[in-house]
Amino acid sequence: MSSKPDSRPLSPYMLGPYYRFQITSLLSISGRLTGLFLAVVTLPVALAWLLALAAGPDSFATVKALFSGWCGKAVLLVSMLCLVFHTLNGIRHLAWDTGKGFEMSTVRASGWAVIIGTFLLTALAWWWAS
Amino acid sequence: MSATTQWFRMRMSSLVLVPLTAWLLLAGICMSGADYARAAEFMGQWYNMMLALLFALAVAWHIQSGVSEVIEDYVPSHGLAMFLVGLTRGACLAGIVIVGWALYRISMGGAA
Repeated sequence: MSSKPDSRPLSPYMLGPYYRFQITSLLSISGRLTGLFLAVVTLPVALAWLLALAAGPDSFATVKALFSGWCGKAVLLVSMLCLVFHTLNGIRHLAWDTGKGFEMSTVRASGWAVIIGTFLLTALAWWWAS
Repeated sequence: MSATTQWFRMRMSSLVLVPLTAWLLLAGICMSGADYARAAEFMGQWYNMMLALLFALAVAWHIQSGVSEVIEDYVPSHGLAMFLVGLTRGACLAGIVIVGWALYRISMGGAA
């Protein structure tokens, strides 16, 4: 194998036809996908809110109207799901970084806890906000 | 930067972001449906400004580190990967500047 930087190996795809579907691989790729969504969609949306607030009442009213439409609400709901998931899954990763929770039964249990926690916390936050 | 330093700083940004994300979520809940006056009052509080700035700094570091990792893992061309990493870092820096500017404007009482 050549040592050119261009020929470095890429990560294998753990979903699809090559590997059996598992909660571990699903949550792993979801961590990355939700992170990307938060960076590319959620943060610019939050930034738009802050900028509109800085720009004055007229701009703020426009952004507020966009947020209360069905499209705005859908983006906010998906954002909230991604934020809660990414945070809970991140805490799971931080626990692994201290060397804890690596038994397969614990890994699966913490995975399910992240999934259930995400939906519960998001539902609670959404209900509280409306 | 050594790989260990890079790894460690990424975990530090994650650790700092856990309580800051709780604040962001609570702020989002409080600000849902808020009009201009209420939002300006909320963001004008010095502690909310500090937390927003801290969040912006921590999340900018977290994103440049995390997104670069994803790019390096999946983009086959080294040149393109380096370009995208540079673009991500530039966007993160721009984000910090925009948040700082917006918070300054809000602290000055919005559009004067």
